Amino acid sequence: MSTVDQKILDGLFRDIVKFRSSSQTSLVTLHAIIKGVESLECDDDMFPAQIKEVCSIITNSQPRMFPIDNLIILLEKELEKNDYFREKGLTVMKSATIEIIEDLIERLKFDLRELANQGHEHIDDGDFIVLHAVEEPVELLLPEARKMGKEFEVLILRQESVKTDRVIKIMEKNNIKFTVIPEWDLIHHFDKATKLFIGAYAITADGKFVSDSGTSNIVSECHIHQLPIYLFSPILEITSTISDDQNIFLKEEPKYASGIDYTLISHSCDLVSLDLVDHIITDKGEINQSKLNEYCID
Amino acid sequence: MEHVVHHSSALIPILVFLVVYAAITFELVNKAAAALTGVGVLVVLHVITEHQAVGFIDFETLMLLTGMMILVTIIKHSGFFTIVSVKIAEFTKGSPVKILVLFSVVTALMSAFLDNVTTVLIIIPIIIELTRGMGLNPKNYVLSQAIISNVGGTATLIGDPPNVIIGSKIGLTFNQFIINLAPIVIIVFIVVLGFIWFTNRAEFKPINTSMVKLVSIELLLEKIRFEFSNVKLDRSLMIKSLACLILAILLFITQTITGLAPGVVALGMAMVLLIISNANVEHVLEEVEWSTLLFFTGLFILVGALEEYGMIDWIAHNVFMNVGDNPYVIVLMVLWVSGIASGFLDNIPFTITMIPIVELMLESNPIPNNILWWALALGACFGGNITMIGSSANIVSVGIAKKYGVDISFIDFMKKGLVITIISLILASVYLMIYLRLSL
Repeated sequence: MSTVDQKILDGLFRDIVKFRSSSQTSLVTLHAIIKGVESLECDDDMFPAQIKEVCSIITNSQPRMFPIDNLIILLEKELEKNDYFREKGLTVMKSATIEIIEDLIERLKFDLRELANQGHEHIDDGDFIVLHAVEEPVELLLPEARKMGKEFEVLILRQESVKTDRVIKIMEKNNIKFTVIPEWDLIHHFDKATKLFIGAYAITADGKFVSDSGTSNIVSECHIHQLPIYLFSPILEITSTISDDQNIFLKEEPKYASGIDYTLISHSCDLVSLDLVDHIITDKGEINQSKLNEYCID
Repeated sequence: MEHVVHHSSALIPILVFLVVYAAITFELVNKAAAALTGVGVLVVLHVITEHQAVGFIDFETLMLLTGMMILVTIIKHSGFFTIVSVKIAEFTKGSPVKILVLFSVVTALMSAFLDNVTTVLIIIPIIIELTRGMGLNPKNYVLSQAIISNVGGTATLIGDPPNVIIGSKIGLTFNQFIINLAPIVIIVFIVVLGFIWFTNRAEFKPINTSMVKLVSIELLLEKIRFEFSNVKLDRSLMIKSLACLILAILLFITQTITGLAPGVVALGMAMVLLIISNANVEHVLEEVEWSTLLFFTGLFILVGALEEYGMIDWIAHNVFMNVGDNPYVIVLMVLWVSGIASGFLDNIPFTITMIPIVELMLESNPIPNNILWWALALGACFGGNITMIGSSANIVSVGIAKKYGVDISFIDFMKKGLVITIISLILASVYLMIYLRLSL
């Protein structure tokens, strides 16, 4: 596996999740794999190695990204079960692989529809919901709830402009009333806010969840002020791996300010304890933290 | 016949001109400020009067430039250029050769019919994102687009400032430019692309043998689509502005029938577009490069003053016309001197200075079919590729690349630019020699 290829793909994942939820990023990745399979030109015996390389790069990404990580595990299991269709030639290998990926896409789409259905029940007329990043509640739930005629407003916490601009755009497109404030201004809005909605990149086996940068602060503040916290996540985002194994990326950037050179250190995502979350909503309904391991894929 | 400078006071305009030229070349002060300060000195010292100064300005050139700048600004606001760039990025599917060829074709066409600074401002960021995202070195792609923008701009009257100046001052039409220059520009474009590919062929390997690269490019295109398509599209504005641009080009082409000068057409269509688009005139005018227009104004006056005092006549007879009256030698000399000088000096003041010199040369050696003007245009435009300061498009390209973390040094640019310019000038020489042979 090439380190350069790994770095390129890691960087792309980190960029795309700034404007898409991890679920949508996974769908985009699956479609990218299909296009890759279609365009690939190689000897028949090289095809399994090429697929394995892609799978390995995706499951080793920094940070690990779910549900694609779990979907790749399912893809590999299915391919191994059929010995990568080795005997049947490149054309059949390609079409059989694409068929499996298309099934996985359908499965994820179904799960996301189910998550949206489950999520509606937790949105009430008159809600003033706090949001901060492009996650499943923003992309999926709230637009659906609005289409169903629910009357609610959202409070968008401004963070990185790429993320916030995208959240604003989605709200505007779906005619959802919104107010934008800097993240640090949240303290002045607890009298009106009714819920905090968040998403995750992964829910880990040791009772934590990996999510967009800035989530930890907001969750902690909301928890202290007893604002109900809802985590929306498809089951496919639950992993049997622990938080230390999530390959969280550490970025070091040289900076310059007021005549001083310094290094800015930042992590690609946050790790938050599930103990701070009041409700974990999945496509299978609300689940209890203690029963998470029942839903692990591997 | 001996040619002398008419007055001893000619020393002042010469001195002012040289100081301004040095200030521009070494970027000591803003170009417009340098040129207009020079004009101010000449007026204050009564070398020329303010009425003479105004008389030296070529308003036709200024109208053409202002009109095109307004048209381009409004088209840019419609989101058209961004859409085109993203579509091309998608069309390349990450193939390094396709990236080079397709972007080069678009850059050349946009540079020919719009202006090359706008072209590189749009193309360079997307090509850096695309190539860097694929693990390729963006440097060669940036250099190639800067160079191609200068080559493409050479093909038309409106493509490059030297052509705008020559066309407006001499009265050459849009069609004359395209008929006489496009054939050699197309040849140079193909040869230059071939050269860039050949010298970097290791970087242009196909990616469809690597599944990881194919997946990466799809994800990269997703990212580019988001980043660059985030601009607000205004379809109505896009239709109106493109219609005005197409109409302007049609009026350029039919200049001999309508009798409308390019400057009148460009400014006229810009005004029509400003009215029908309901664009915020203040915002549009803010984006017009007033500094460039004032720079042109100042230079016209400085060169006018030199002409007034007989300096141009002196340079023409004592420098350029000393080579004899062989038309082949004269054409080659104008081409190569323009080419080399434009690489190290700004080609705008150079062209403005050369126009009266070429006019005088034509008086004593009438060379048919405007071949000497084509030699000046080809030399001034192609020569801009020698160094990174040779043309505005080069300076802007290197500047954007730096902003994106791609450092291109003077030497980096010159290593490629010099060879490409020599190739371009050799091809142009052959073309002009054949053309001259057929014309005599």
